[in-house]
Amino acid sequence: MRTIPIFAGLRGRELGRLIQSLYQRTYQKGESLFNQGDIGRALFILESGQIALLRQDNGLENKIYTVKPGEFFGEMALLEERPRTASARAEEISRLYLLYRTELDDLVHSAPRIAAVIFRHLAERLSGRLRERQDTRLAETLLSRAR
Amino acid sequence: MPAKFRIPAAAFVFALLLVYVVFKLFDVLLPFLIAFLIAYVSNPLVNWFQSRGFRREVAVVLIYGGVVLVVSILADPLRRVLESDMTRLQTKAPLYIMQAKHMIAVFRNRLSARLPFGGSLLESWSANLYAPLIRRVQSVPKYFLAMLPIITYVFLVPVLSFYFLMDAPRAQGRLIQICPSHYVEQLLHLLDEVDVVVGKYLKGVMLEACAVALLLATGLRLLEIHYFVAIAALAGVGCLVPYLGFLVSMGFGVLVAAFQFQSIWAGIKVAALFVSVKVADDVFLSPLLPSTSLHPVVFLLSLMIGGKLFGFGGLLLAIPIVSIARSLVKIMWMWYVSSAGLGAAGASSPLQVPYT
Repeated sequence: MRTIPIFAGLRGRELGRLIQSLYQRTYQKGESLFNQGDIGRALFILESGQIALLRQDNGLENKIYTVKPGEFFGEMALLEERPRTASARAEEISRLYLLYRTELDDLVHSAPRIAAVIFRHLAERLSGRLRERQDTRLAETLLSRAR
Repeated sequence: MPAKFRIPAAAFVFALLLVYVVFKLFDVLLPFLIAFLIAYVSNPLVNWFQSRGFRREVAVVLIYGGVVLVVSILADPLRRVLESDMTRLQTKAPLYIMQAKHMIAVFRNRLSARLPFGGSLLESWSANLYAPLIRRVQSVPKYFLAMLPIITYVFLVPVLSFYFLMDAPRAQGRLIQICPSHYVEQLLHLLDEVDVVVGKYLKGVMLEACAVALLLATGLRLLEIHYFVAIAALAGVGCLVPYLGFLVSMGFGVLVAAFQFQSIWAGIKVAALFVSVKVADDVFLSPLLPSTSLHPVVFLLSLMIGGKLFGFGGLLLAIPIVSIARSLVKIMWMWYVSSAGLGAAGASSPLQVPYT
């Protein structure tokens, strides 16, 4: 667990506390973790295997990303109870940890340092996406002006 | 039936079958339920040890060693005192009630002689209207004594709760693994909701029962009331049976005090003590404790149905079972609403508010 980036910075005892808040499940090849539109309540952390994130647009399913070991996804469910924006399917036998929303709320009160580390990693991910989106928009604006 | 509703429908049918099996086999299942509750209450302590690097097996054995030591020192003397007090109360209860009826009849006659009108109403009033209630109240020590064999499940319940404690994480992991992949988050939602409901109820009730029993034992001891341990224990257990438990235990305390000192004022002092403890509980303790937040009508109906179907065990388990059932219905409704797209539009995002 120390090698999983979202848990980087946690000490031994904190990892021990965190393990009690995580659920573990192994998904077989082809099993669906969640579908686009499902209300999400858990963050998924991939320990081993491979997960495909798929989005349905106009009836067509496109793979938008392949999650590799050590990465996490589904983090928006921890922040707000909204429908999932993509589906997740196991491309091979995959072992995942699930961090359920209320477990994180419980960590905020009982082990705030652990919760702070997790939220920091989530914030870094969101900040990176926002920056990427702004860069993309700027590039599109410049291109349209150039035309 | 649409495919997405088949599994929830199957789960619902399974839940109904489970309720039927529990109803039929309640006497057999009771020690398992008690062992599960003990394991549930002890689990946070085991997790605490585990988070500090102890293996689960070692943590469970350490906790069990401590509990066995405390119980072996306290349980047998306490059980003997309770049993002897309750047996004596059971024997004397009909005498106390007969004397109480006599006192009420004397009081009624004096009052009807002084009233200018309405005396005939009082004359026709008879304590026999309350005979069924009085018979049930007389039986309360018998119910309490019937509970004592539960305490003597000294081999069965600890063994069961030991295995529940040891294997709880593995059992939970198996449950998550066998759940269809698409429903894992819903299962976690369900487990979380049940955990919150049961945890709230147990913590609230256990703390309240201990606090009330301790306060009353101290107060009754200061008032030099006989059987103060039994009466305080009855009041503590009475916290598990809302409203009725308090009234019954107060009734016993008042009767014992009135006939011990041959004075109605002794009974009034005990009643005042009970009322003070109840008020202190409602005003100071209950707001701090987690509650089930059931409507009072639903609360009472659950108790009556539980008591009718399963006796004393039903009275104890009625509220947590109804709270769990309410959570299940709430969750199933939420799933239905979200999957059918029936949810109301969310509040506007803060980003939509114009910058001013």
